[in-house]
Amino acid sequence: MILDTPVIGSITVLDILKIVLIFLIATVIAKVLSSYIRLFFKDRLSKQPLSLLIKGVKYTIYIIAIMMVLPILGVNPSGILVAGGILGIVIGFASQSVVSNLISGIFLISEKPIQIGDVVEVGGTTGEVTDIRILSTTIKTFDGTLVRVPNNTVFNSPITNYIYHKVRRFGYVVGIRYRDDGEKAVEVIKEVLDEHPLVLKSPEPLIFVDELADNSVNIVIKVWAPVEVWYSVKMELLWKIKVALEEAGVEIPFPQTEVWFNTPLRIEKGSAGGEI
Amino acid sequence: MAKGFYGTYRLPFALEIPGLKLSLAPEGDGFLYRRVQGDECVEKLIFLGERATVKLLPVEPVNLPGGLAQQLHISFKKPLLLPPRGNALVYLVFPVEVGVFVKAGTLYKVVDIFTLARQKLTFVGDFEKGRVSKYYESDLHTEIPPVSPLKEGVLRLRLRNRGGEWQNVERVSIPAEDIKIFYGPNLVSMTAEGVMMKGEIVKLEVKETPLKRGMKPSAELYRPGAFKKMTKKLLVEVE
Repeated sequence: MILDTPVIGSITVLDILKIVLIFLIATVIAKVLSSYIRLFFKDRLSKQPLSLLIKGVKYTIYIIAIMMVLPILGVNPSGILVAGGILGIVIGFASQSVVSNLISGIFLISEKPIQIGDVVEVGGTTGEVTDIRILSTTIKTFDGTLVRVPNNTVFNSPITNYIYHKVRRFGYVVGIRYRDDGEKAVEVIKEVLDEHPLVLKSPEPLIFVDELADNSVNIVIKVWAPVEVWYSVKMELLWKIKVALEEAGVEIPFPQTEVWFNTPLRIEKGSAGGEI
Repeated sequence: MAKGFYGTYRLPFALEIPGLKLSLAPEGDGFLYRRVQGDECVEKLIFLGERATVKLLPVEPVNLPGGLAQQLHISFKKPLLLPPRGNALVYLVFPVEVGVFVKAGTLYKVVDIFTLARQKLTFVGDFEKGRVSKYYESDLHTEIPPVSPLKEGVLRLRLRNRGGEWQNVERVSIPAEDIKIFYGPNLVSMTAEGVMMKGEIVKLEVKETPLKRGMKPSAELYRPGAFKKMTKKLLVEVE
């Protein structure tokens, strides 16, 4: 039969057909998988890491195909496998962190706990996420520096996302003198907050006397604002509150100590002139 | 020149009303746009041809402050009670925001948006899916209330209770993309119909009909494709 006819050494026509078929199937699988990966990750990965991922998948499939072809060619792959295994272990140990970051990166990209543009605190770094790559995430901190955080760190750290919700609360503690009218102070602060267009009507701001402290009556103010502007509102509002309180005759005190003497102090005229 | 405040103006133009000064005066080869409102002064140098025009139109009242609002939220000063299967027709007021449009080449461009009405934001809904909204308080009127068209518009709201229980209505929210404003010389308006079920408006439809005959549809900056359509319409109107 023609299929059993040896062509090169002991390799028959059937063997060649098998080899062609294996590579054909491998090519089809590689192409299909590549298209799926491209489709799934095209909005999640930039061009370079996406191309790298596709190449990696393709080469893995071709290596598997070669390992399947070797016995047909009469080559025992066990030796290669052993050598490959040892090499794999060495490479595995060497690239442990790379693989860990890669897998973390894939999870970060698919699960999306953070997205580009989010303001986050992760692994001790706070700032805006500027890029999520396959191995690392870059964060632009508020002082303008760029920090590259390995994806493994991002994935395994608690992530605080400051802009996940559309609104955010901030607060102040304002002290007034004991002799001032606390209710009036609260009313004045309420008016300031009501007049400010970016202070949200709901959730309602909270203003209350919180503490009778050593040098002042402390009023706690909790305010909600849209997340995009909360910090500028925070910076602006405190001064407005201070000015409004002063205009209403309510003053913010400074620490004072009253000293009482058991015996009245004697005041003496100085010999060098002047009086004490 | 259009009748009333809204409409088309030829350049150069200047307008002054209490609390507001608007002008587009020649400056070199272009025009200097200036708005003085209280302590605020906005200036822009715009390069326009001699035949250019400027349009003042009411726009969706969600742009100010800060372009942060996604919808208009009107809170009723007193609640409205609706019996089972009952209907109600009320008139509310809403804040007006004015867009200043100039024609650049074949396209209109919004160069400024201002308002004479109170600006306030609120948050409506839960933290996950809620929306930052422009907040305004309104009385419930049973007929068209007298308003200054530069400051406030009138929303005719028809409510239908489809449920078998009494409904208590205290507020209404209209997403920015659904807002359809009409304007005339003395009135800015919106018309909407809401269906009530289980204590809330489950469906609110803003109608493409003016409150009074002769009112014109205004600019829509938020409905997808609407501004493009409006631009074409304006071009026909202006030329």
